[in-house]
Order: sequence, then C-alpha cells, then structure tokens
Amino acid sequence: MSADSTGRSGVASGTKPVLSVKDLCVDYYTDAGRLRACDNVSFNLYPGQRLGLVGESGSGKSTIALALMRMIKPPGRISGGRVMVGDDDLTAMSDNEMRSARMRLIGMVPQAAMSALNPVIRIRAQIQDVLQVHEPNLTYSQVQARIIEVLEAVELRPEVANLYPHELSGGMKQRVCIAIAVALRPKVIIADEPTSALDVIVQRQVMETIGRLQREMNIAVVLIGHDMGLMAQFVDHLAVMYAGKLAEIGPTPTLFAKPNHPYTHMLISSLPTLGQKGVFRGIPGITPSLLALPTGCYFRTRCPYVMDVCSSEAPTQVAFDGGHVASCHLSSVPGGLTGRVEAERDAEARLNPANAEKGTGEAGPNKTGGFS
Amino acid sequence: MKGFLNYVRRNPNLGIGFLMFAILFVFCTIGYFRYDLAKAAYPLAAPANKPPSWQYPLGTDSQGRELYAVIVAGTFLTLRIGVTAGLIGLATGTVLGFIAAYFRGWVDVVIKSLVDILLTIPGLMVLIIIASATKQAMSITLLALIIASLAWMGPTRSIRAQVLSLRERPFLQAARLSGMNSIEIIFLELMPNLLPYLAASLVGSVTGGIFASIGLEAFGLGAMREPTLGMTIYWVIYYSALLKGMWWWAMAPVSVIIIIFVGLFSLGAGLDELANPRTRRVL
Amino acid sequence: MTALLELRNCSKVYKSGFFSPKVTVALDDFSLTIDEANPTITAVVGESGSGKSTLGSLLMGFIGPSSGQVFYRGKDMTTLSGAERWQFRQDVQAIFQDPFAAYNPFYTVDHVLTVPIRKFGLARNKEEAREKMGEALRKVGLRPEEILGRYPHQLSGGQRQRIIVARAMLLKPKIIVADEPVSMVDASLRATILESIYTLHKELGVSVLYITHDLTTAYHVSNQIVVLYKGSVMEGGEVSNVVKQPQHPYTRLLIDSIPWPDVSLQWGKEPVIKDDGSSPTTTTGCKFASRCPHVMPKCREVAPTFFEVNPQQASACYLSESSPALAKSDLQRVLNKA
Repeated sequence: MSADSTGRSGVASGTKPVLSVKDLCVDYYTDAGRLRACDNVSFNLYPGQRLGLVGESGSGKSTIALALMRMIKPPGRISGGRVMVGDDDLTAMSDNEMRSARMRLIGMVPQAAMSALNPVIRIRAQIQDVLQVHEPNLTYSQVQARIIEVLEAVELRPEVANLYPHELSGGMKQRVCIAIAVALRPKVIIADEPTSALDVIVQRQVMETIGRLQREMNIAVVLIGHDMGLMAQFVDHLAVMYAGKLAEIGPTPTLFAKPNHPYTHMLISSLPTLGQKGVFRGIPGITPSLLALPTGCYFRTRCPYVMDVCSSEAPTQVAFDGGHVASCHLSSVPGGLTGRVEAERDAEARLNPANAEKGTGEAGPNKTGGFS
Repeated sequence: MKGFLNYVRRNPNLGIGFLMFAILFVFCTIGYFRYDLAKAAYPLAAPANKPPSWQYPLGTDSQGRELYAVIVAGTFLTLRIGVTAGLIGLATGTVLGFIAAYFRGWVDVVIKSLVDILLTIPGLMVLIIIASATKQAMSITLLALIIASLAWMGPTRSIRAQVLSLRERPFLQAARLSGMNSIEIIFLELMPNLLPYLAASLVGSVTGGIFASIGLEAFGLGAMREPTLGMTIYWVIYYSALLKGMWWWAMAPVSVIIIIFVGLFSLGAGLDELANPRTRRVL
Repeated sequence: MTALLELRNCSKVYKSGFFSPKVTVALDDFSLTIDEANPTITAVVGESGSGKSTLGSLLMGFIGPSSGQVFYRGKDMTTLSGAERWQFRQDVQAIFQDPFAAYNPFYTVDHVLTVPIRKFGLARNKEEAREKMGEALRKVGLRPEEILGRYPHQLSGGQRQRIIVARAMLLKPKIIVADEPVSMVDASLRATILESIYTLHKELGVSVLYITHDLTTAYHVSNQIVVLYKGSVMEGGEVSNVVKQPQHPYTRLLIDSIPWPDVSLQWGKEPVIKDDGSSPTTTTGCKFASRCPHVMPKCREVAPTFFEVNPQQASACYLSESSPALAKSDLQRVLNKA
C-alpha cells in the first residue's frame, strides 16, 4: 500500500508521480544472519515536491538513498519492490542502463562533500566528467558553458572551476556537489544529509540554494536526515523511518500538529524549543538491533502508549486525510494518539500548573520575523 | 578451529601463509628425525655428486653433503638469522618510533633526521663492506647483527607514522584526564592498538632479514662453514653445478626459498588485512 | 574568595609556515571565571573557527595560552606543583564529542571507568569499585549487566556517550568541559544525555562548560551563554536574554538560521551577507565587520568593547553604544547571576 502525497504544493490529482517507490526491500547478508535494512517501504513523489525522510542511525534511511540510486553493494541487495522514475523502472534496468540513468534521471547530493570530491582533480574536470559521460555529443565550448551555468546556479563564482577541492570551504564544496547533481537536470534529486557537517548559518544558505534550484528547475527533492527541525523548515511532506519500516508519512504541518505514530510524536517533543526550558523529554530505551527485532510492532519496547495487541500483531498502515498514513494500533482506538497525548497533557497540567504549555515553542523570535 | 577456518575463507592469504609453513614444518620434522644434522649437512657425509634416489632423497653435492639434511639445517639457520635480525630491527624501531611520535619536539627532530639520513645510505653496500671486512670471523649471529644494524630504520619510520595518527585520538585525551602519565599511556593505551600492525611489520622485517642474509651469503660473505640456504647457492655457483648437470643441487635451495618467500609474503598480507579492517573483503 | 578557575585576557595564536608565517588567532582576549560556590552551566556557542575547541583545550590544561593567564585556585597554571596539578586533574574533567573515539578499542568499556577509579583512589578494592561503577551507570539510565564487559563496538552510540557521562559523575569533578556532547548522538537520545548533564550540575554542584554550535540545546541546558566568532566574544549574558533578544548582529544571524522544529517559525528573515573577503585577522576592527549588515566605518577601525545592555547581557557592538561600556575582562559582570 503506498502513500499518495498530493499536498500543499498544489499538485493536481491525477498527475503522475515522478518518483514511485513500491514495497522496496533491502537485505544485508551478514555473518550473524540476514537483516532487513528496508522493509516494504512505499511512497510517491510528485514533480516539484519536497519529501523528507527522517530517522535515526539504523533506521534505514541511508539504505533507501543507496537503493534508489541502485548503489547497494554486497553483502546487501535489493530483494524486492520497484523504483520508478517517471516511466523508467530503475530496479529492472541492467547495470549499463542504470549507469546512464544515474545522474541523468536521478541525482544524488552525498553526505560529507569533503569525501565525495576527488582531491587531486580541479572542480572543472569533475563537473566535466559527469557531462561528458552522459552527453558525449556536446562540444567543448558547450561543456564549458554548462559548467559556468551550473556553478552560477549554485551561487559560486565561475573562477571556482579552476580550484581544487581543498581550496574551498565546506559550504562551497557542498555547493559543488549540488552543482554536479543538477548538471544533467535530473527529475529527482536525493540529498543525503547534505548539511550534516556544516555550520548552522552555512546550512541555511545551502538549503536555501537547494530550495531555489528545486523551484527553478522543477526538480523533486528527497531530503534525508535526522534533524526534524531542518525538515520542518524545508520539506512539505515527511516520512518517518524506524528500524527499517515506514512509521508515518504525510504533509509536514499535519505530522507536526497531529502525528499519529508515537515515535513521530516523541521525536518532535524531544527536541528543545524556545518555549520549555529545562524540560527534557527523551525517548527511553535504544533502537533495537536489526538482528533482534521485537515481535509485533518494532517500537513497542520504547512506546509509552503500548497496548497488549502491540506485541502480538504488527500494525498495518492506516490512511488518514490528505495523504497521511501511519502504522500504529492506536489508529484504531477512538481518539487515537492525539487523544492519548492530550489526556496526558491535561493530567500533567493539573499536577504542575507552572509547567503547562500547549504545543511547541510559542515564545521565541516573533512569528512575523524580526526582533524587538 | 571452525572460526579460524571461516576467517581463512575470507582471508586466503593467511591460509596460504600457514599452509606454506606447515609444509616446511613437516619437511623439517621428517629431516630432523631422520638425519643427524651435525654430520649429514656437512662435507664428507656421503658420496659426492649423487642424483636424487631413495637413499639420498635430494641427492648430494660436490662436497659430499646430503642435500636433504642441508636444506633442513639451512632452513633452521636461515630462519634464525631472519628472525633475530627482524626482531632486533623491529624492537629498536618500535621504541624509537614511539618515543619520537609521542614526545615530539626536539626528540622527534633528532630521531627523524637520523633515520632519514641513514636511510639514504645504500644498505647493501654497507653490508657488503662490513661483511667482507669480517670475513674470517663471520658467524650466524654476527651476520644477524650486521643485518639488524641496518634494519631498524624502516620500522622506526612506519611505527612513528602509525603513532602520530593515533596520537590525536580522543581516547588518549581521556587517558590523560584519567590521570595516566606518558609512559603508561604509551604502553597501556597506544601499544595494544598497534599489536596487529607490529605483527605484520615483524613478518616484513623477518622477510627482509632472510633475504639480506641469502643475498650476502650468495656473494660468499656469509659464514663459510654453515649450510645455510644462501651458502648452498654460493656453492652451487662456485662448483658450476648447473653446467655439470646437477640440477638437484640448485633445485633444492631454490624451491625452499620460494616456499619461504610465498609463505612470508602471504602471511604478511594476511596479517596486514587483520590489522587493517578496512581492507577486509566482504563475503 | 578565590575563583576555582579563571581565564584572564587569554589569547591563543598559532603560527604556521616557515618562510612566510601565517598567523591564526584562535582565541582573542578571552576572560571567564568559574566559581566553586556558584556553579553554573555556561554555553560557549560558535561555529567552526570560532575558537571554542581551543577554549576547551585551554580549560582542560592541554594547552597553554599565548598571552594572558589561566589561574587555578588563584595560582597561575604554569606555577603549579605536582600535587596541585594532580588536584587540578581531579577537578576538571571532560565529556567528549565522539562517543566512539573516546574509547580505546583494545579494551572493554570498563576501562574508561576503572582507570580513573584506580588512579584517583575512588575505591578501596575491586568490589567497591564495581559497586560505584554500577551506581554511576544506573544514574544515567543504563543497566550495568548489559554494559560492563562489553567492547565499544558492541554498544550503540547513545550508550557509549552515557557511559562517558557516568564516568564524569563517578569522578565528582568541580568543572566539566562538555565539547559537543550530543552532536554525534541520535536525536531521540539527546534529551536523555542532556538531562544527565543537567542532573550532574544540579545534584553535585558541578559547573559545566557546554561547548556547542547548536543554540537550541545550549538554550535548553545552560543558564548563561557566550557567543564566539573568530576567537572573539560577540555577546554574552543570561541565556534567555541573549537568545530571545539578541543584540549583536551575529547572534541575530545565528538565531535566525536555527531550524526550529515548528512549521510556523520560518528561518531566513535576516539576510546572510557573504564575507566580502576584507582581511579577517590582521585588522584591529570588529571581526564581524565584513559580514555585518549594519557595519559602520568605525567598526572596521577599532573593535568595540562590551556594552552592558542590561544587567545580564552585554554585546560587543557599536549598535549598543548607548549602554554603559564594559571592559573585555569584566564580562563576568553579566554572567554568573543565575
């Protein structure tokens, strides 16, 4: 069952998704056994949309990035499912076809740009590489023009083409990687934690660049990360991964306001905001090892709303309005998760009237912007 | 045992190395019990120039040595030289490398400069000069020491580099914060992490020592009376064995040297893989 | 009353290159006082290149300042006797950023706990040591049976980091320097680890220096904050004041770039001006001048001193010059009022 995310970006229903992932399964065969890094994940992405894929280490989000690019190496392999970009089935392609499709249909901005760029080759040559492999018919001057075009698109001076990677700052290197990813104007870009190594101001600039490019070229973006804050600022749809499974997916405002999976809810409340100083709401326990997953629902060992049915039956996906899907038994309980959360809040408010505060950060920089 | 075999499947080099040495071990054990090595490996123990037969499995040479015994004795001796030279070279290199890398400052400058200068001196030349100067007094031990004297520079450099790379790791800072002093940190924190690397280096050192000794001996600069592998080659050349058709005399030491070489090389590669998990092959 | 640890006008300068030495000012004229009687959690916030890691190393005694002095219990650090140094070692401990690299992979995780117990004589025998270790582990939410005897690679990042916090608890230091303790830990565990650090402060009266680039966690856990940029302090004061009403343009830029997990609070209101490349370290002007939207000619000539905007906040910016001036070494006046 897949989540159909028609949402805020005003995509008319009936438009075909530019990226369609259906029941994707990725397994790793290790000495200790087979582990399922990605378990029947399905989602659709429409042109011009931004999807966030959030999860912690071991959740399977990086595996999905690699799987979409068909870059999973042994001992891992894609053991099931289908990945379609437009009309092309990436999973059915041969290695040669995939090599041509990579960067042309679907591009990737990797994590840690420092390692992604070849340290002994100038920037010009690295962008040239990509262009020449996929578009061999371009003349030399056309290639050079494209290089300048693409560097300016990411707000870098054309002179950067003559530099070596070590002469650039972290933010600039990341921009070069973005430039390489968009050089062939793919339909989809996967950004795998593009800003994890960057400072907060540079992060904002890089994300703004990605956003601008995305709007100008009408590319769909899958942003993979662990920072819910970044997701709230950037993506219009959000998918939450836990232990290889898709816990919840839906429009970002809905997920933040009324999540239907306890993990999403706890992830959001564990993040510090300006409203509640000194109140720590961590998630107890640790992520289960993929080799020893609990029966029933994977999250039940850490879930404060766990019920008896959670240990015997794995939850199925339940659809809500607006393309919001969640896998939690609470969805079949009247009131759902929202009901339980509010009941909890009321109880706490009665005990501790001083601490009571609804919702996430209210105090803080003025919502209209600017400071006093 | 099963775990070991499983690992060998992933690291075939280690397996080959062990296999080679197993072959040598069996070969030498048989020889050890069959022959009185003090007699059979020396001249006038058997009729000269006999080709391989049931009585003399590897034949005999022009001076009447039984070649099987020569090879057995020679393997022991050659390995002994190699191990002695390798151990001394590595031990010196380790101590100096650790001191230079950990304490830095002028100690590092002195040691590093010394090593770099000595490395530029052509080692073989020095060995030949020293060996020819001590021609009559040459013995197995002296040969080992001479080789060791030039074998410590390489290990010093590589171990210094390894320690430098470990030096900035937070766990050393944690050790300092826990109250450990420098000596304790070197021996209790740094050294254990380098053991796999040291083991691989040892194999390299030993290999170097063995081949340096074979080289010197083949020139006639080794201990003349001892039936080492290198000396055997020297006699092969001296007596023009191949021209006389005595192929067995040349084959014996060469085959054993090949086995030792393949064994040491594979062992080194295998240990290298063990020490550096990043090169580990995935099944 | 002598302060426990005091940095007075400390600067750290690195020279590199042999023929045309390049000078990098990692830390410039920094002053801070940590009192034993008045433990605080001070956040030192800055991006890469701000000098915050240098500050951490200075406080831990791993490096010395190029100019200025560091005083431990009133004595200059360079003049400490062996016994006094040992005391310093016990009083100042750290929590590291990388939960994996902090462990020696050759030993089990017990090693990070047993070594300091042995060295500082915190237990009389093995049983007592085990008991103390178990107690500390339980305090950070771990079960000793599951942790002790394991190797670092067998545990998760969150567990390893909690053990490091447990180690700090065990040693009962007076000051803890926490250098990015949660940046490499999963989001769901950050709150738990920060809570342990906060508990450490509240229950044992430990002063914490929380070094980070993440303003949100800094706001959450600390009571005062110092904002660093290229080695100089831009703003300092009580944390709510600085974060909710930042006066310095750099602080405003930082706060405006925070990705809040709240869809209604969008970032990006303040424009980011790219560094126009005008010489960063050789001028005597304000370090932020080349990126400041409100830059005035005098900013490039003379770096502003602090201006006390309110009793618990000071900003090094001419925009605030209507407020009373404050010398660089007196930053402490607006701190430590928790």
